[in-house]
Amino acid sequence: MDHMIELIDVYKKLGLTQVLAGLDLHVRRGETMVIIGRSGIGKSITLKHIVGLMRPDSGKIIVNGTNVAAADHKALLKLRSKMGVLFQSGALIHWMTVAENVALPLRELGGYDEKQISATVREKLDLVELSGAGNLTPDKISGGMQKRAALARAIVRNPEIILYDEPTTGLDPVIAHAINELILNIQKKLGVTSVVVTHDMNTAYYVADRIAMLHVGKITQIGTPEEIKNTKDPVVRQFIEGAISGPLANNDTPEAVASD
Amino acid sequence: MADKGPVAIIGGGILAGVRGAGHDLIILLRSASYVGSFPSRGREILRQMYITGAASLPVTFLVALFTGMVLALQTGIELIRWGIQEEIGTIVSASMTREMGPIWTGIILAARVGSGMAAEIGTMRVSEEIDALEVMSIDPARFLVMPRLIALAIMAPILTVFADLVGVVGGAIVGYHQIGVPYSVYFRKGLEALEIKDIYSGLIKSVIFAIIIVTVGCGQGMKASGGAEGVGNATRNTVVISMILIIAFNYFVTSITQWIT
Repeated sequence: MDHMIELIDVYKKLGLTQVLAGLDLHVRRGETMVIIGRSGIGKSITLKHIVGLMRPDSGKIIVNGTNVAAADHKALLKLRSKMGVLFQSGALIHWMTVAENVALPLRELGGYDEKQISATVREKLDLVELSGAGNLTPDKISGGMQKRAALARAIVRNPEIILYDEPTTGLDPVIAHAINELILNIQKKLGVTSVVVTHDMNTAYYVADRIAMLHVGKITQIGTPEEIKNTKDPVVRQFIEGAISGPLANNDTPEAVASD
Repeated sequence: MADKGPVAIIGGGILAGVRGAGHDLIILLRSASYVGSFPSRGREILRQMYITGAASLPVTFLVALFTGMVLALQTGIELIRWGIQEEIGTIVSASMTREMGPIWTGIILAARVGSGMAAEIGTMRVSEEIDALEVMSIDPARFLVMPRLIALAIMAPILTVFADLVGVVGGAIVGYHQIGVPYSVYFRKGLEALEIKDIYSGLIKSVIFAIIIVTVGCGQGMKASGGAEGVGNATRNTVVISMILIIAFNYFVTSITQWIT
């Protein structure tokens, strides 16, 4: 099987908290993998490991053949040039307009003239349906528009891998659905490998080729959306149904794991 | 935590301080290594020059004016007793250019600009904007710190000269109205007292203060974590640490320039 992203036996402790405890995850080239799990369980931290913003205490993280966990600065730069990340908050540079934000990766890395840059920016803003908002700063647009602008920035260099951190959190259902559509659309148009971190099951079912459940520092279940919907695993069942009682008690957060 | 002895606590504190200073120094050196590529950040440098420099003029004006005025008043009252009150021009211009101008400008900039940098960059850190830069292969030291370093290193000496001038004029007003020294005498004495080494030592100080403020402000901002509280801590630490460093470095630069000449 041709894997684009592999996390092998990854451990990470933050302070006294063992966040990742032997995490294994293999993402196939061209697939959309959705990681679900409770808030604070380490989903975003897993993404930060894939992009090299965090290094594991032990274990391997192989992205497109490069071991991110041991990569030097140059190798990391090369790898990141093929990656786009949609951050939970959007993370648009606050004093720049939407168009300047989208142009930023092209402008800063050089090799493009202004004509190419403005054509690419226009194309990507069209794709996320923000053509009219290019001249606005992030504080002048809604949360949903910020997410879409950030998505345009994430795909401006035509990445091979896109990582989405809670793409629909904090958005109303209509806009959340529009973002889900965009994720599918980008997947179709660019043929990328995607990892989506979310606790929104609508997103998970809608965009995923496979869904992985992160629980107490490990992937405890993995399968297609159908398999996950029909699973008998009590942890996954409780999570997808949002039941109050069940094995996912309030003491299942990483903090509690650390003190076990 | 409770079972740690005092030695472990003090040792841990020192280690954390050294590690933090090392982190800030690395940021300074990295951003200094990008100074050559300043044209690519020209617009941001101009924006920072406005924020740090031009917008600091009103507060610098007021602080310098009253400093010059109180210097003239205090020394004037004393000098009248000896009948040498026309010397206040000498005293005010020497104190303003040697010490008061640079140090007050440094403290104003630490409070106004350093805290602003820590808050802005700290907010960028907690809202993932700095992570986003790193993921886009953009070094925050080049993108954020270098323009601030250049802008403040240009604006701090200009503000210092402005503070020197305003302070001397403030002294002249008090000298004329409260001490009875004519303007012509005051300014003649003031000019006579000016030495070129006082002016350049003040300018060297202001550039060093600018480097301190940007290093501490940006370093604290980059290290911020944990939302609003983290940004608040970064801002407070910036003002406290930069003020202490400014006052300490002021002494050392004065000592060195006196020793050289």
